[in-house]
Amino acid sequence: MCCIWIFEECVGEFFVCGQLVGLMLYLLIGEELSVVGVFVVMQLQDMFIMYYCGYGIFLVCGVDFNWMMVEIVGKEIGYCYGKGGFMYIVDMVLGYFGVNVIVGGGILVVVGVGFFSKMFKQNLVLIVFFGDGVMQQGIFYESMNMVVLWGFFVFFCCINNQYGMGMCIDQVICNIVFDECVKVFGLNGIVVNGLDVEEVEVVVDWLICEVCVGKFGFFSIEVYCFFGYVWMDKSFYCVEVEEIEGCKKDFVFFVCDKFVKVGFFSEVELMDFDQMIMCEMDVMIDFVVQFIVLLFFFMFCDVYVFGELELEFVCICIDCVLVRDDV
Amino acid sequence: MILMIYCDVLCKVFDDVMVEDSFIVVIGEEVGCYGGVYGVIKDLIVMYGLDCLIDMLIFELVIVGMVVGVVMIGLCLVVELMYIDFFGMIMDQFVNQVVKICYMFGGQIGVLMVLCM
Repeated sequence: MCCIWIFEECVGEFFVCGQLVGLMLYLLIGEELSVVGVFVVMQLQDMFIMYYCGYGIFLVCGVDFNWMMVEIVGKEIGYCYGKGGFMYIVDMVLGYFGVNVIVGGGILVVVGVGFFSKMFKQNLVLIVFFGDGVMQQGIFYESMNMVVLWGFFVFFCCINNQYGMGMCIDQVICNIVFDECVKVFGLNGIVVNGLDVEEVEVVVDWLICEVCVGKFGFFSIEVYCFFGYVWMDKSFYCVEVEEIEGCKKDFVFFVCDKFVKVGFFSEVELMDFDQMIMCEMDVMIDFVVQFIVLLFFFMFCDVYVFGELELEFVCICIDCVLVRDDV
Repeated sequence: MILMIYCDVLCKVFDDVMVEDSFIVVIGEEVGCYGGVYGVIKDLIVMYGLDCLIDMLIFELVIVGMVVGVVMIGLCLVVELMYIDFFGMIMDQFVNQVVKICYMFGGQIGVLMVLCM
């Protein structure tokens, strides 16, 4: 969990240094830590899909954070050869069907994967992660309907940070008790406080057992996003009291405190552990910087089937037209 | 020269590819027992059964969205829409998922599907 937190801060640093494309960076510091509890229960062959921009889940499932950062900063040897950037990352070997940032737009993909799994009797458990912005979209309810009707081994995980961009969830959805919304479809619905990763683990374990006997599941993890929904924004949408309360939901502090009380680790050991991660991240930054950024003229490489004509760049087309006019 | 109507030509094409590749599945509204809205594939149900000709619900967006997931794993699907008028219904999935996925993920995932209207 410390690793996820520090990794995301490093992404933020790269962004501030102008190493990332775009003017907005969506970091989810403090949100995804409880997801660790989900992956403790998952097995190797299980698959998952995400419909929000999350780095933590990808790290938890065992990816090398060096190579992930290489992709995030758009280097040509990254996961998607630098074309995905921080928005789109995929690794089929890890059972990771990628991040898709169109909120809820492709949630039906998980139904399709479930369909495949059932057709070939693979019995995969599929987990789809999405933000609370999906909860009022029709396509989500259509997906749940299909999953229950056809009996796919899917369960839905909502990472509820209370905001869809700058809009508070209680301003866009009439019933904010999410577990009630899904129960009408016959799913097990549970709301979990994301502060305690062990609680998440217990709930997910139970839900997966239920999925395997035909009772499909949904759970919502209530979390707080530190440092704003867009990296270092002014949080104008959030009142001060809410921020103060939110900052109390510090997962790392909670877990460390628990470890010290139980006697798993001493405070000194935890500090050493933090230092170790910081050193690893420093090494990662050096590792990332050495590679070259994807060059403009290789943008369409690895996209089309070998032998097919690649798209012509607009700038080249314009140059051709201008040359022709000159002649 | 053999004279054939379009329906028969399409049916033969479906038949040929499905014989060649047993992983090809046709999915859509009324493609099973009914054989498609124009009866193009009505004869295929006897040969391939309901496992390869799958009837779906009346919501085109869901059909295409689901198919994206299936083909991402590796199956090749033929999606039949009843009428071309429904193409507008699927634009979200078609433009934002089917067309872009290959590019979004650096060519690691392709969407091998045929859209038939």
